[in-house]
Parts: sequence; C-alpha cells; structure tokens
Amino acid sequence: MAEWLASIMPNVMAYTDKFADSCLATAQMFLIAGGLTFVFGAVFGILLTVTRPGGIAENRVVYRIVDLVTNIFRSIPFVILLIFLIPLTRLIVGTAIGVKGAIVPLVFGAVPFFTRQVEVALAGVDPGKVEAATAMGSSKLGIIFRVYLHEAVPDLIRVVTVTAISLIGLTTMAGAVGAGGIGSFAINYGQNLHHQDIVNVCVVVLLVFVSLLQTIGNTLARRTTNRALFHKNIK
Amino acid sequence: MIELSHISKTYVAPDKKVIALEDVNIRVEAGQVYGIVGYSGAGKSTLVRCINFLERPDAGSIRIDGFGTIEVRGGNAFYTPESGGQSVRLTETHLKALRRDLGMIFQHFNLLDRDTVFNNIAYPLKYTGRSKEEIRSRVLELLELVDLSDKVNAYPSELSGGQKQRVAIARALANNPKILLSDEATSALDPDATESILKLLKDLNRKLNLTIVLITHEMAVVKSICDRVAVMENGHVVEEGDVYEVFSNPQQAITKKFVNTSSGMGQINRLIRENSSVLNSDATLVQCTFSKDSVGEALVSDVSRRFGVNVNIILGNVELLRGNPLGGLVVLIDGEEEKRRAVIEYLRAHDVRVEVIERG
Repeated sequence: MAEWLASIMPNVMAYTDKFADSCLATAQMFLIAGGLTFVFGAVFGILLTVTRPGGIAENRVVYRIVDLVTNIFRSIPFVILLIFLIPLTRLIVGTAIGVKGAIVPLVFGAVPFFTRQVEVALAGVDPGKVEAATAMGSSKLGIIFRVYLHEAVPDLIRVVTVTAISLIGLTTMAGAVGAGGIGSFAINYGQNLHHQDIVNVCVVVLLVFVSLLQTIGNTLARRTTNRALFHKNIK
Repeated sequence: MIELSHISKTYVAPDKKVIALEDVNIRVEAGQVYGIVGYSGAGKSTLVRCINFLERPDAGSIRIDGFGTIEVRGGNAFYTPESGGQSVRLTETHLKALRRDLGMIFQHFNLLDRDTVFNNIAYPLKYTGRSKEEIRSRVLELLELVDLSDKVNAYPSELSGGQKQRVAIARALANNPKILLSDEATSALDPDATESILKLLKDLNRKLNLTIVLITHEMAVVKSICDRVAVMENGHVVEEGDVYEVFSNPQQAITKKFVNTSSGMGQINRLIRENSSVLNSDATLVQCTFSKDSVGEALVSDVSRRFGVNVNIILGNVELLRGNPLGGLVVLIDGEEEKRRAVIEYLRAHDVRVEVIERG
C-alpha cells in the first residue's frame, strides 16, 4: 500500500508529516473561524432583519450602521483585507502569523458575506407568518427564534453550506501569507519545489471536502423543507 | 363589545400621502358576527388591524370589553384599564395582553410550514406557564372543535386550504379569546371549503358566544353569516346596519352594487350593456325589491289585472336572509304612461322598493 502510494505521489509521501500538519491547520482555521463567523453573521443578519424599515424592532440607526459596515468589509478583496488587518490582528491575538493570526482576517472576511446570506434567508420568511405571530401576542425574541429562524432552517442550511465552502477558499488564501495550512503547503512544497503531485493531492483533498460539505448541506436542506428535522408524533 | 371611535390613519410615502382611514366609527356588540365589506384599498384591512393594534392608528380610540381603552392622541398611545383609573403610556405588555384576548385568522392562513398541526396550534400556548400535559389536552380539544383530530401529526403542506384554515382557527382560539378577527379568511378557498369554514365560524359564534369581525369583498359571505355589516369606501364607512336592512334597502351606490353582485340582479346591467333583445321595447324597466312583508303577495298578477298593463318578468330572485325571505324582480311594465305611473305608486304602497332603471 505504502509502496503503491509512494509510486503515484512520491513527494507527498516524503512530506507526510508536513502534509498532516497542513491539513490540521486548515481544519483548525476552518472550524474556529467558521464557528465565530456563524455566531457573528447570524447575529448581524438577524439584526438587519429586525431593525430594517418595517421590521419587528425597527431602528434606523442600528440598521444603517450594520448595513454600512457589512458593505465596507464586503467590498475589500480578501488578500488586501489580510494585510490591512495585520495591526488589528496583532492587537487582538498578539501575532499576525500562523493559524492564530489567520483567524481574525478570516472572520472579518467571512462575516459580512454570511451576514448578507442570513439576511436573504430570513427575508424569505413570509411576512404573514410574522404578522400572525405578532397577532398571537408573541414577543420579539419569540418571533426571531420561533418564526424567523425556525421557518428559515432549510435556507439557513443552504447559506451555511455556501459560506463554509467559500471559507475553505479563504483559508487557503490566508495560507499564502503565512498562516500555514493546505494552501501554503501546495504553494511552498508543491509549486515552489516543482512537485506537481503535491499540488494535485491538495486539489483532491479540497475537492473531496467541498463535495462532502455540499452533499451534507443539500441533504439537510431537503430533509428540513416543510417539516422538522426530528419529527415526533403526538399520542 | 368593541368600539372604535374616530379612527384615522394615513400612510406617508416619500412622494405622497395615502389616507387609509378617516374618522371611522364602528361598534360591534358581544356575540355579533360583524362584516366589513369594500373593494381592495377601501381601508378594511387597516381597520381590522387597528383593533389588535397590528396597525397603529394616527388618532382615535379603541375600547374592548374585558380589556380597556387604547387612545391615540398627538402621536402617543395611552391605555386605560377597564376598571377606570390612571391612563398610562401603552406598552408592549398591554399589547400582548390585548392580543391574547383577540384571535385572528388570515387569507393565506400563515401557518408555520415546518411545524406539525399540533405545534402550530400549540404556538400561542407555549411559554405561557402551561405544563406539557395542559398544552397537549388543550390542543386536542381544539382539534376536536374544528373537526381535524386525525391530522394532529400532519404538516401544513399535507393539508387542503380548508383544513389549513381550520388549523388557523384552532390556533386563533387557543387562548380562549372572546373576539375573532377574520381577514378575508375564505377568499383563497374553493366554494365548498368556503361554505364549510363559514359554517364553522357560525357554529363557533353560537357555541362559544364568540364575537367575530370579518372583512371580505364577497357579499355572499356577509349574507351567509353576518348580523351586521359596514360598507367601506375610500377610508370611510359609507353605510352600516342590520344585514337584512342593508340588503333589502341599500342606500349608497356602492352598496347597491355589492348587493346586486351577490343576488344575480346585477345581470340586468349586462343585459342593458349588451343591448339584449329581451329589453327591446319602450316599456318601463323597473327593479322591485320585496321585503319580508310584501314577498308573499301575488303583486305582479295583481297589478296587471288591476291596471290592465303587461308585466314582463326579466329577472327574478328570492332568497332567505337571517331566515327572512328577500326577493327581487326586474320587470318591464308596458301600458299607457299614466297606468305605468299608477302601478309604481301601487307597488310602493305595498312595501315594495321600486327603482326605475335607465337604459342608456
């Protein structure tokens, strides 16, 4: 087995430790930045939904600020954002390199994207449902969790999938400026040392991971459309 | 009882102002089924939403038995409890209390698609301090009330329109409100489902002494279940009264139009428009509306015998409204000018409302 693998990708097998470290670094960046993005993006997306004109907690000032900041960070290309945020990253986590240093720009890059996606997903909830809940005396928090988030689950799963996939792309770019991970492994050991098999394996690994995410996302979205994920019968 | 006084509401868009309601006064007695009719844009949706404050009026007051009074003046809303006492600024808490006393159903049902029938009906019961068992038994009780017990675990996407509206009604009644607001609840339903939903509403009105305020653009709905009706046009209530009175003796042009569309008497306008051959004579065309006292008499043959005129029946319609017969006839009266006039006088003397229809 090892021999066979060594014959089709000799350089990868020569750097297995580096390769494993790179995969681990990418996984760390993906999970930590993804987790933070999920939380912040959801909060800002909900904030935009409820504070917009005609929303359940209309607030012009909050809406304008969140809307503006989201637009600003969305319009900066990620590679520029990476270097632009170096001073802030040092301030927050103490370093601008490695996995730790990559988290901050990754979050800044992904949150505005995810915020917009959440906003769109929530905008797909029929305003009539919100009105009905209001008419039943439901509180604002109740409407957010029991109507907006609850009814938008399939769409939210779809946008989480899209964001997760684009976040993988961002982690490889962060790799290019010293964050480690599969991206920098492909550039430093593949491209720079002329080891095409390393580049190929990196592509395959990413392809498999992205396909896996997409499949899980599609399945969950389909299973939650017009029904609960875990259905419990009464009686 | 619900009393709306001097309700006004204007929508301000950047380029224009739209007056939705202007000085509207309405009083609905407990246990009544009260219909509000009008074309789209007449302000009826806005008016019914002022009752549960989904729309905030610019001015006016809303008094509801068992709750108190909300008054809007100078852009601020104040709440006065029913027991009297200090009037205070209206808060979210007051509104929640108000809305739990008022059920509401909608044209498009507005059920949560990802929740089962059970969870949809349980929505207003959860987080109100009730135990799981209490919620379960209340939901099952409500399902029995709307005759949908077998659908407890179904999702809305598996139900027909009529069944969805039944779930919505059960949900609206979960907290035992005394008042149900209905916003075009049957407008998206087929005729069979419409009939069964109207019957259910009428049953609930009788069984629970539920006050129902319903808005609709269909006079047939008013005719089948309402006790009183208000007709709205351009943000005003232009006519209001007992359903039988309004149908037998409509005053405003718009009311006449609504009444005619629901009775089939509106057909005469089509005949005139299409210059139908049945109207080919210079005889006088009149519309007669009979009421409870005159419908039983054989007036047509009576007048033709008595005055020696020919009475040619073009359209006829008799129906029961609140158990009273209401009839309408469109006839051509042929004879000498004098006799025709005498016939009309005679009919009017016998409690028949006679209107000469102009052809042209």
